[in-house]
Amino acid sequence: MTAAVVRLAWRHLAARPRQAALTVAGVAVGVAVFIFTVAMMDGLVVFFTRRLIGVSPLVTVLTENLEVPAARAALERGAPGEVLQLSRPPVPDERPTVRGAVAMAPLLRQLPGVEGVAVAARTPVVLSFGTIAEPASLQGTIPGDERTVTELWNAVLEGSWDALEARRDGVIPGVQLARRLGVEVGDRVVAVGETGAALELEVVGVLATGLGAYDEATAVVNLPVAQALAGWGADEASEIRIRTAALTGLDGVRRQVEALTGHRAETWDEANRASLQLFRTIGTTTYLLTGFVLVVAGLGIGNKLTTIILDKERDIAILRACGFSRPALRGVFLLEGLMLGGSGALAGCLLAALGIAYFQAFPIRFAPREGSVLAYTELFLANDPRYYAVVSGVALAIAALAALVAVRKAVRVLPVEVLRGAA
Amino acid sequence: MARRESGVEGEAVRGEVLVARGLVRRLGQGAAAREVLRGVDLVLDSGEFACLVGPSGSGKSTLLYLLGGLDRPDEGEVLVAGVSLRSVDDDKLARLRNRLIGFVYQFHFLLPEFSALDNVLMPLWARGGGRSPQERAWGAELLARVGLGGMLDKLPRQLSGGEQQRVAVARALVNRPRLLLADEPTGNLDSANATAVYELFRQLNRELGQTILVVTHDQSWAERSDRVLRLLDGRIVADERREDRVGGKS
Repeated sequence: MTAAVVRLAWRHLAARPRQAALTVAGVAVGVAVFIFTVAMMDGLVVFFTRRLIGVSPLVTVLTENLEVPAARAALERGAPGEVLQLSRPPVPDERPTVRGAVAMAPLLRQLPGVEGVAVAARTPVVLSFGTIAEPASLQGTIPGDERTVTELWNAVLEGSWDALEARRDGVIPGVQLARRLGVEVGDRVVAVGETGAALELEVVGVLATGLGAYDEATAVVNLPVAQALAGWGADEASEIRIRTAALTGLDGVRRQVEALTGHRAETWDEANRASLQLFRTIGTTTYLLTGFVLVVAGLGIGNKLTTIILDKERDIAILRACGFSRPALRGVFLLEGLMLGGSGALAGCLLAALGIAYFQAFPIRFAPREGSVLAYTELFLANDPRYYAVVSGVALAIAALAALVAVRKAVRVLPVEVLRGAA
Repeated sequence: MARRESGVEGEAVRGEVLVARGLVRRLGQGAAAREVLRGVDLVLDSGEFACLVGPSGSGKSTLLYLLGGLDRPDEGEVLVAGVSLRSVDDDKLARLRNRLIGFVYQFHFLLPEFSALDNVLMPLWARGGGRSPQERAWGAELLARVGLGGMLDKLPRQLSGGEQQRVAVARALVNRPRLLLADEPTGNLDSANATAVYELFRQLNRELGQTILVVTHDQSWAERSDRVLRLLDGRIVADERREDRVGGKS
């Protein structure tokens, strides 16, 4: 019976090659578009994540204090006899900084899973070059330590990160900020901090990270420069930046860091939850919309099979009269649906794979847009075998469903109801 | 009469291949419903070649469809080779048709995508066979018997009307059915082809002892058959055997 089912299904389709080819093409386009869209959306998230992880710490110790007794205990363990506790009434205008940050750094480096630690001081300043003044966020860091945490050093477009290490008064502004100021490497700018303190700095590089927050308004300097402009002490910082061995599952490290520092710590995905959530939402919406293409392709299969079934009503009755059971005839049309869906899915997968391979080899590049959160400079396509498996599975399921719906009524009819009027 | 309700093929009482009792069939619904068959009783013995005649609208085809298990009666029952068709479900009925009954329709109803041989083998395919060399040889032999030995691979559209009908006859015989039913098998054929089909039926009847019931308007068929059943207004009004008829010839 199975062989007969296969033969009947194949002959039905082979008898109408053009119709079958059009139906397969419909499914193929649906599958290819869906896979390509998934690859594009996932590619965007991967692109963003890579960019983000490249310039951001994976765990950041923030200024917010936590009442964690373990923090003091950990400090005492790290430096026995050197930790004193001073109690005083709360001071309303106390600066929101991480105090003792520099002392904490070596202790944090010893935590399991931690690969690098850098103390950073962020403070708002106004940068002036000639008659041009631009507000900016100054990020003070120890360049050598920062290398162990992010790849900011690798994002220096002109000049070099080493120059920042070599020159205490060096500054590396973001590329858009530098453009607005009109500065180049070797120019000298003046930074004025919130306290009114002013320092003259030399541009030793230009930073191009692809992230708007950096490129538009950040300038990187040595830690003491930022501390001086903010009016902070040498052991104060606005954050401690930590690199971990793992990218995900960082809750354990975060808790340990919080226990050790007594400050709230945040992982990179928490810090960028809104952006990541936005990507997911856009992705879901896109999948839904693209999914309709697949549904339309499924309707195409249903339409094709309905046409065949209407055309074959008499033949179905004859087959029933010859002794074919309903399940067998259902099997014939189910198989036809699966053949159409399967061929379409296969062709669609091939088409998508070729398209993705092409655009990976010859990516479309875009000019970075000023003011954008993320400089999406090329069509970045992710590629994962799961895309093909899932989309093909969905296409086959839709094809099977379309086939079963189409054949449902036809196999219920008694042969005589068709044969009586067919002669 | 030994009989089984289960639908499992059973042994017929010797000689009786087909038994119909009190068949009533109504067509249409509500006020438009009309009784096409009004209590038909019929027994056909093994090896009989009978014709069912009657004016148009008398219920001949309806009766044949009921006897062939292609339709269900509103009242009464049909037994083929001792198996009642009444209480079996549609799929079991399809299997019974496949094993016990061969049916030749007025129109050939061949599947256009399949060759003559494949069409003949179709009932074997339905039971999971039709692929062995022996079965294919049997299908080819049947086609040879109906004069189409050289046309095994021809598609229906490559055959004439008479040839198509002969393929349909071979298809009806491929499962070696106990009963062969034919609904005006020569209705669409010219006289030469009609004669050829008749000769084929007669040959099958004589050589294989095939039990045959043919619905026909063709008087020459009726004259040459062993038995003639006359249907009028849904009832069998006459049942003439060859020996009852003067000048009956085969």
